[in-house]
Amino acid sequence: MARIRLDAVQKRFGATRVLDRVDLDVADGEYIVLLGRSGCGKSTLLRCIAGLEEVSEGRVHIGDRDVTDVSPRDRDVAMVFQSYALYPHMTVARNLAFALEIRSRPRAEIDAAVKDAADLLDIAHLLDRLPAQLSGGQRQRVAMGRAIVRRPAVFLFDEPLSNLDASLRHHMRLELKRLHKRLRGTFVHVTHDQVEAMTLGDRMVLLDGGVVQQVGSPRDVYETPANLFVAKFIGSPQMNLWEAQGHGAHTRVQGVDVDVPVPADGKYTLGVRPNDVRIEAGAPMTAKVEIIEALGDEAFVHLLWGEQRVVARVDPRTAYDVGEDVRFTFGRAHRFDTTTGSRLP
Amino acid sequence: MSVVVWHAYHGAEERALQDAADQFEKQSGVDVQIVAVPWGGFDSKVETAVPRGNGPDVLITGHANIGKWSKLGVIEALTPIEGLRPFTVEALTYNGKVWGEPLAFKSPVLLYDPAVIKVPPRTTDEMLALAADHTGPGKYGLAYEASTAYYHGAWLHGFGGSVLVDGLAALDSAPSTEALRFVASLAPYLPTRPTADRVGQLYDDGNAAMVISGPWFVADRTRPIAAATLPIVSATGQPARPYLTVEAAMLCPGHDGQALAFAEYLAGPEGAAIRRDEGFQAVAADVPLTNPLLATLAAQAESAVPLPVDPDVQTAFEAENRALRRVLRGAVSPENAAQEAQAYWKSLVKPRPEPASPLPYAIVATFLGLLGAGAAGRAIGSRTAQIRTNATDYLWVLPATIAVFVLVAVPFLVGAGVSLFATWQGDYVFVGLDNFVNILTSRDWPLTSPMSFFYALGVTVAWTMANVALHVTLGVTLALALREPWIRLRPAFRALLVLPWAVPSYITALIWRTMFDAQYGAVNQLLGAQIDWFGSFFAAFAANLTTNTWLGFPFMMVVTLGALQAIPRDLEEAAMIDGAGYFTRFRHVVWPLLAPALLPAVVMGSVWTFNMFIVVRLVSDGEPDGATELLVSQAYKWAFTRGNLYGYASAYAVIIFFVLLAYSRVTARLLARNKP
Amino acid sequence: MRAPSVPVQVVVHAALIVFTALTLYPILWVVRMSVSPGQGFQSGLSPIPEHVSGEHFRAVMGTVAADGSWLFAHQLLNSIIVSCATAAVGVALATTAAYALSRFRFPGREAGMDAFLVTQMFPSVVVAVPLYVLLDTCGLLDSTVGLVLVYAATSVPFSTFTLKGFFDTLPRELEEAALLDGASRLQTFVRIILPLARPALAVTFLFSFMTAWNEFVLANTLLSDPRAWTLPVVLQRYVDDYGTQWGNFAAGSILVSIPVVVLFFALQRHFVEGLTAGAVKG
Ligand SMILES: Nc1ncnc2c1ncn2[C@@H]1O[C@H](COP(=O)(O)OP(=O)(O)O)[C@@H](O)[C@H]1O
Ligand SMILES: [Mg+2]
Repeated sequence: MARIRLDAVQKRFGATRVLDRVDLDVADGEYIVLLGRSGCGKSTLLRCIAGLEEVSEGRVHIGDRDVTDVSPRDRDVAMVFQSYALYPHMTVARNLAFALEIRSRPRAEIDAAVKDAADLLDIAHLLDRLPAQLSGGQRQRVAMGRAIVRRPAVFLFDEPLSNLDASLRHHMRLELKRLHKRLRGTFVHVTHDQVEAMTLGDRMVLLDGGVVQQVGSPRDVYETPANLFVAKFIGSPQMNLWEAQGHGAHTRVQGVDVDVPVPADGKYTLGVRPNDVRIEAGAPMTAKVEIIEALGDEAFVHLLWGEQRVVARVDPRTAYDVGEDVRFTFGRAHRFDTTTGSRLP
Repeated sequence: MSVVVWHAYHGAEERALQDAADQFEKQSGVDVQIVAVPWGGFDSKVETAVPRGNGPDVLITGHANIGKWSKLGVIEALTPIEGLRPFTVEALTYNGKVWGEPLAFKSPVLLYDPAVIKVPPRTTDEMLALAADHTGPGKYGLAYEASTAYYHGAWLHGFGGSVLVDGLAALDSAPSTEALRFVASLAPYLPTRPTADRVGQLYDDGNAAMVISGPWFVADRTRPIAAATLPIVSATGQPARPYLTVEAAMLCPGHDGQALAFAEYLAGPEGAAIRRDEGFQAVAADVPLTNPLLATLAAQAESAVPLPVDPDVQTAFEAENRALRRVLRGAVSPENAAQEAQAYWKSLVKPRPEPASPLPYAIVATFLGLLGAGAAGRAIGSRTAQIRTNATDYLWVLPATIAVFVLVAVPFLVGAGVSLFATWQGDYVFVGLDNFVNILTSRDWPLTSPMSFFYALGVTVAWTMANVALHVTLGVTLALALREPWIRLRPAFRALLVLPWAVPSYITALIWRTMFDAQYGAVNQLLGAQIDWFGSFFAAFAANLTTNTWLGFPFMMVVTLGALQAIPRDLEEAAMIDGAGYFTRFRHVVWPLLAPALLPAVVMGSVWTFNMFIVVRLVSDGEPDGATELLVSQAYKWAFTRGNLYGYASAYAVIIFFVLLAYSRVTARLLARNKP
Repeated sequence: MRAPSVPVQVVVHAALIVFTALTLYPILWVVRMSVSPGQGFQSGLSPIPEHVSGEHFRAVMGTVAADGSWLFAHQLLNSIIVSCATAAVGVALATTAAYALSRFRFPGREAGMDAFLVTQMFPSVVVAVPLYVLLDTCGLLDSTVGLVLVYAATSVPFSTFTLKGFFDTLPRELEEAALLDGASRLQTFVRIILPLARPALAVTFLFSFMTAWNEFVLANTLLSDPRAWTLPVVLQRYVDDYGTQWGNFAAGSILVSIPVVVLFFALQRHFVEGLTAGAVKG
């Protein structure tokens, strides 16, 4: 059983606090993605799970064990490093076999496990090469092979795809998904790429400044961002956000009356995803077309709305002219507390 | 039991000794082990091993050390056998006792080329005339090591002088001055600054008509050579009287009961006959010496003067050497040279410092010790928890730390302790910090004298900086070149370029010395110049520097080759794509990554260079007049060639240590500051 | 990486050849002396020997011990054993210490590194006698063990610093990966770190080897039996107050240099092979 549980984990490097009271519960066999900007503490969190860093406070549990004081080699976890960290003086085969050799497994078992892993990852033809003789993508596969060869309960991936080109990254995403299905291990995957997080994770954890911002399925996080940070971080283009003032049924954004589905009283931050900005004749608000971004199967129109900007997702087949006045309205809207950033009902 | 014999003989003499020992074994049934000891370490080995009971039973060596060794208790007195030439017994007598069985005697004689000189000169005037006749371009009428007090002794005594009179140097006496003036008159017919090797080569090449040297010179010659006694000094009518060395078998304390029997056998008629006939020795036993060379030696011995056994003679010789070098170089008149030499000798022979009471030092040392222990205790105490959590880390460093502490640090600390003593002929007198005060206040010399600590410090610093800069520049340049794949035969170049490191530096340094010879040296011939490389400070410094650079760059090259392996070439390729030229790439990509890896080698290299004296000793030997001596070569000279002032030398070593310590503190501070 | 233009290549090769020739010039004199008849010191301009003879090599190599065994072989073997043992012990002591200094943070670490550097500052003039007394007390006189220990200890500080510098450049992820793969600290050190440190190990091995190979003063003081001598002592036997047997000395010098060059040839592949390539990034 490889449930992972973090209890109020803190990590300080000297005086700087990198992780602040992180609580996390990962179910056995779950694929969880840690998402956040670079420097927010993702790798540190992963390394705390692996045991490569000692936590400053809090406990780490894997399965039924409290492993806080257990050395990495006894935690039954495998990790794919962002840099891959392949042993440069060993062939691919020996890189894969190393963990089993260390554990003095019988030769036949080692060979079989290496062969399995190599077949699974399609690197059987590379077994005699040294890491220096591999391409980036091949190295990445070897690094993954090294992790899976000994079938650990927990797999840790630190930005495994970030060194790959776009098409390879897409391909490997699918492969990871497939791998997860096959191995049924608990996967913890660190990335700064929201697409990766959205497509791979059963659940995702958003981290900022060492603090967990939201935990939830990709859908949840997208639909109901817990705070402004998440709202801004998830979704591309970013959610439209304005300072709003509500008086009963009236809502004003910088002096302009707007039409929101659920009005509320007081000052708050109003958020509307570009998806939910609908351009249609006879809609209540008017704005001027500033820029049109056509991406083939979708298009975004950037509007000047008084002094505010609005981004709307539109049908690429509809033609707009720059400078043209259009009328629009909002579908679903989100409200956040302007000072704390947290979501308002 | 067997009789162990230490000697430093070679060739025929060694074989004869072995044969004599074999004969003795056969006759007496006593086992004799003949052990050859390198001459270069003979004295120090004897003085270290014998007092701790690890010495031999019998020592065979020249008589000059009996003064010191009898005081140190390294040798025992004995009653010599009958039938020896009286002067050999006399030479071995000190404080009324005889300190060995005399075996053989040696002294310089006049050697000449029988093809050129039909009748050897009987007077110095004749010798000068003959020398003038046979001097021409590249040819010398006379060749000998004129700038050494040992050879000069013949003239000094011939003029009626002596280096020591009643235990004090008499270097400025009238006869001494006369002898110096005489040598100055020889100068036109002598090669400049000749070494024994150079004299030999000149003779073998037929470029020296007459030579003053001893039987050892004859053995190595490839051309016929004849011997005669040294001429009569025309000015005084007295014969030239060279120094005489009497080699003897001496007994060490605790020797085997049969040791005396063996020594007596060796000295006696039977052993003497073997040594004479097989070893071509002029033996001390009163047996006929018919071989012409041996007969000449016997005749020369009539007038020869045994080398003084007074340990002070070492310092007098050093002062005399200096006067001779200066006179022969024409730097100073013989009169002034004599005055200078006497003054220089006075500065070398330090008045024995007053013994100090160890009590205040003991109190201060105890106090400092307690203070240090307290500080260490507190430092450990405040970190016990941390030390305990890291306990296993210490296991990794422990073996190396123990080895270095016991085998490097402890011997130094013990050796450094000697600096608190004045050592004089084996006596140790506690003097506290007097040696340090003497050195640091330059009590005996003006600050600008090459003998002063601060002068030598300046030279040493310049020497270190120049060497390290050159080693690093050459080493890095070559390593960079030799990793380029387009260079052909890279492995061969690499292997050839480590050769200066591989070949023993003793011989290569001496080859460099001859390459800087003013007349024959390859350097002057290549440059088409006539530079006297050892006549001025800068030239001599440059010669030393060149030699040491040659010796030192391969090490730096190897270290750089290793360090370059940690620098990925794609970084350079990236810079290349960015349009950086070779030197920009080096400056901004390679060097910043290489420098930290080279730092240990550079820091340690500078420390080693600071303490590197072999090159200075073999190439310039401090010329001109000590100007190129380093701190460590000064320390070496005080310990070994200026009267064995171990305490003074040790104080030098301790000061050197603190200078380097200060240097490392400063560099560490600078490095820390440069770090982001 | 692309090669530079042909003229540049020619100039660099020419410079290299000239420099190498100048470097070899003094050594050719050693060669000349070693094959020329006579024991005189020779100098001049052309190091090409006029007459060639093997007498000096025969004299140096043909020495026979009192019991009739081949003395030179004994001495060569001694030198090789002492130097290899020195290198092995020195490198073993230094690698562990250097690894700890590079990777662990423990109280006393900085002080320890300073102390190692400081030992290099002791001028050797004063240490020979105390060292002799020390080894005599331990009963290690006239034994290769004592000699090896002293040489190894002398070489340890430099080796430690060089190795530490190299370990510092090795990516930590490699060790972390090994740790996660289940390796202990020691296994990681032996199976990951040491193989990767080959260039630095080769340099320090050569350095430690040379520390022992050319040392004379201590070897002479500690060793009395000619069969226990190392080659520097053998060589110094040709030097003498009255003049040196240069022919023999030169021949001996050549013989002494050959194993060093052979060792360098064997090791040089390690100096010139980048091993960390491919460890990190794609
Ligand atoms: N060993 C360390 N010492 C000090 N600070 C560190 C250390 N490792 C990481 N940090 C800091 O912790 C923060 C989080 O780092 P990391 O977890 O690597 O971020 P990322 O989310 O990009 O993986 C960064 O600000 C980084 O500078
Ligand atoms: Mg990271």
